[in-house]
Amino acid sequence: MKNQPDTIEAHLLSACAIAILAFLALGSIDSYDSSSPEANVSDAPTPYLGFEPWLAGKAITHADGDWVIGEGQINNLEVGKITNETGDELNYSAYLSFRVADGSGKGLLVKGICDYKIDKVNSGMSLKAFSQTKAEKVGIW
Amino acid sequence: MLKALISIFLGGAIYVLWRPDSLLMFSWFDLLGVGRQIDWMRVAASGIEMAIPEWAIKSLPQALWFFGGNLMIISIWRAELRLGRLIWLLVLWGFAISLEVGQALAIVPGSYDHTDLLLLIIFGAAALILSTKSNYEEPTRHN
Repeated sequence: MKNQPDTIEAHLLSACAIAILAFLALGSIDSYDSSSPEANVSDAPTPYLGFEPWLAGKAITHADGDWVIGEGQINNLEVGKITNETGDELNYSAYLSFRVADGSGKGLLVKGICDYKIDKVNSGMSLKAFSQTKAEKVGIW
Repeated sequence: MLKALISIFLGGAIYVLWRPDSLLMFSWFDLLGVGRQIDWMRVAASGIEMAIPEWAIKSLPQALWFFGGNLMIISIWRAELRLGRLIWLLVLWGFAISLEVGQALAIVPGSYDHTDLLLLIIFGAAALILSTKSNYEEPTRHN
């Protein structure tokens, strides 16, 4: 009987511990769904190509939180520098990470450092392809 | 408890620094206004990503969380309150295993991986063994 308050406290703390872990598990859910129609591109690249010329002539668009290759033009995007269509350099620095999907539905993660966070790019802005040597890492998940 | 917190922190750090930024937590960081700082941390840490084995990035974080969770439950419950400890450990194990099984059955978001499940079991068992060992050693030290 003397131990009862301690037991209640332990139950509450345990519930909190489980709730914290559940919260962490929720945060680790990947919002990318490779089976979504937006994520599958008919003329998508082969994995492990990196910052290859296939990016040229296509724009990176955002659909429902997922990065996909869409229509448009990529003009000039280099590590440490991004220019818009008129050649103006954008004075922002951020980590670049976006993803595309190949025909099999596998995702391709392309990462690098650039002067602009690509998910903040306006829809009207066009960007150019990277050179492969400037790719930091390309991976598949 | 300190070991538990360190373990959970390490697991979280791996997620934040080296996992794809499509994870839900990254949209939370943006909402909290720390997305840019997190981006820079990821840039700084990206140099050593190549040196880290894939399993350590993909499977280790949740195993560390599970390890920490087990240690937390064990440290909350005193040794004489075995039933309560057992119940909450079962809840924790049930939760973790059901998430993995749920992924295998495509009920839970994410992709099932044998390594995830294997590491969960290894780290969970390690936490239980470590705490059992320290429980036995504790009275010896006082004597």
